[in-house]
Amino acid sequence: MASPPKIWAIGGGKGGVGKSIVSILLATELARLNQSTILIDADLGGANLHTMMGIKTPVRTLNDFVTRKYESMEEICIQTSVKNLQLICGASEILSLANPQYAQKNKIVQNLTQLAADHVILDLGAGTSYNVLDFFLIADNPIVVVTPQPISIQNAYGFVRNAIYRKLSRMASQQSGLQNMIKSAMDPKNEHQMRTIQDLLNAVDQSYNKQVVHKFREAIQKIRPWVITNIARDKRDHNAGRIIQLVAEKYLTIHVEELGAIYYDPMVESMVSSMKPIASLSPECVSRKDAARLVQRLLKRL
Amino acid sequence: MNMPDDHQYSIMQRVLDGTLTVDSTDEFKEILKIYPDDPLLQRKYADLLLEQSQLDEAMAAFHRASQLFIDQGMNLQAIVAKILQWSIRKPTHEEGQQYQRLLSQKGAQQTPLQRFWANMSYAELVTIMLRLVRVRLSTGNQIACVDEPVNDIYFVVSGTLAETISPECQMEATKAGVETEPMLLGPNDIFGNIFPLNQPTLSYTNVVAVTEVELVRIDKTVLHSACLKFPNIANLLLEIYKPENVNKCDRAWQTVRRSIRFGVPTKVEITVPAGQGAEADPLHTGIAVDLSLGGVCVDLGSPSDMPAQDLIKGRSVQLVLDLLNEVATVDLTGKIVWHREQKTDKGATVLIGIRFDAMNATDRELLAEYCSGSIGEQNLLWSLWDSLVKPDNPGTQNGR
Repeated sequence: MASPPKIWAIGGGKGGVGKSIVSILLATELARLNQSTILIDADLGGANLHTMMGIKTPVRTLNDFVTRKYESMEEICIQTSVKNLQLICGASEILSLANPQYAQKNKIVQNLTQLAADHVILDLGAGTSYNVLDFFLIADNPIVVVTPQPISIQNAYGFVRNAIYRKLSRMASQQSGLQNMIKSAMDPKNEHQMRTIQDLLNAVDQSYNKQVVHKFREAIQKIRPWVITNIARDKRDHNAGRIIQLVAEKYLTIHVEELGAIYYDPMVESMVSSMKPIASLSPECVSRKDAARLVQRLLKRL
Repeated sequence: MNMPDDHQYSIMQRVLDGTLTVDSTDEFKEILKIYPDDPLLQRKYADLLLEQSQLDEAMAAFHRASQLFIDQGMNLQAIVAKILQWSIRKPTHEEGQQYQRLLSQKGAQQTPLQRFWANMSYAELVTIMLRLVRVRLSTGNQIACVDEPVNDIYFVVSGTLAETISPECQMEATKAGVETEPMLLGPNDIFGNIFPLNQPTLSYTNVVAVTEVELVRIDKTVLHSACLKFPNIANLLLEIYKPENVNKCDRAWQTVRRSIRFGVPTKVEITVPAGQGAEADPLHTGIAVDLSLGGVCVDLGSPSDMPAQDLIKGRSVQLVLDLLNEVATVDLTGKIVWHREQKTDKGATVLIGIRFDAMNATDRELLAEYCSGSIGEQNLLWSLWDSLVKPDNPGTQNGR
């Protein structure tokens, strides 16, 4: 039996940082390396990945799977112009899917691992809603995209922060007292002075027991996001990812790995403006070369 | 340091920077005849008179210095000169009121700091002036240390200080090959983490005097009491910490670190739409005690000041949150889910909890940005941004 695909989730909190472009670049590079890859538009509220892939009106979307028009996710895959790369389009026209029911979300999550591919790349929507965070948390390679602007860095950090608390909150779903404590800690100005994950764990230790703390700590350690600095323009810009790494280490007690940077590429801008498929960028383009380097680095770690 | 030749370097400048010591009041008077309208020189002269215990003359000189400072838009320096004058002999209420009128009528109002001093009532000004503490530092003296408590707001009256980032940020900057330079703080700059006013705060930077420095400081607990008693002081203080278009301001506002705003109380305006049994659209203002994406707890102040009888549980309300930025004001709707009076050391305060209705993506993003971490997290993010990423010159690019 074939092993399940590796799930990559590309998130980042803020809109406009280039999550979709990064998703396409990484997926294209994996496909070029003969790795069968499925790119999924998981921006359930504002799907537009298909446009960037040169598809005007998708014939099948994720909504068709959720509403049981098709039984498996493989049936809604669309072959792209790139060999080894398939696309599952999102469903922006179905507003209800922007906030799918728990069962619908579970259905998508469970079927992701059954897809016949080496890699599945989820292009997540903007923001830090639970649906976005839950997709991020199931990934083998959770990737945060940041641009070297302060608001983007803040949002990307906030995204990672919320993901950690969401993970703990889900683990405590059967214990309302514990869950309330986590929700309280999530508020950065909470009156209990829990400012870091360590503060929260100390409070849990005092109110519950060491086993719960141990479980939480283990779960947190398993979250190892990568960060990509997109639209970098000089070497100093690379440090955007490092900032998230440093603050997350201190306040969230997790290790965020800096993957590297994708430089500003005027060709990308031009193709988005003229609605040409990003996947057809020349391999000699700055962004393609950068993406190739990042994929090589990630594959070595898998 | 390359000094200009003597003939280029005026006597006045040398007196002011201390390279020429004049300890004869007669000699000083001669210099003042050449520069009769220079407030800094006048202040120096007043200091000399005070040192020599010529108290009446010193009072007159401080008075003149204060007037000259006001004429030049240097309200802070004017206040300090006036404090020194009044420390020799306590003023009458009439003199105090006269001075407050002068400051409010003639004092410059271009920058938030100028407005802070010029727009206080007599009672407010007296409250603040009485509690300002003068601090003099010699070159090399340190006034703030990373991770040590800093519970005052400092106003730079004269001299220069250097503010450096924490060793943690410094180390990372070095690792990243980024050169960092201290930020210089000069007259009319302010520093110190005073928000939240009711909690102790730590310094995120080191601040060292690089010249002889005169500061005035005020303790945050004093400010807190003053703000509770005089809401106008609270508003003027918040204005200081609001980011403002730097083109409109002097350099004071460039050094109000953006990080601080995350601790600044968020002002909330609440209106009740007509048709819920309430009178048409009464407006209530309060301070957000606890703001998150889901809702907000608002402190509406004393029940006697603001009965808030229309703000009862279950009622729908419209809210405007002032996120301390012209572009970041969000309009939301929500429902009051609880309402209670809480005892405080000053009496009681009305608290209401409001759960937000679904908000649009833009408002959600603004709010998420505003709530994305504790003050410590935000400060570290901003400090690292300043030292590791922020371009030295936004117009230049270093290339790959």
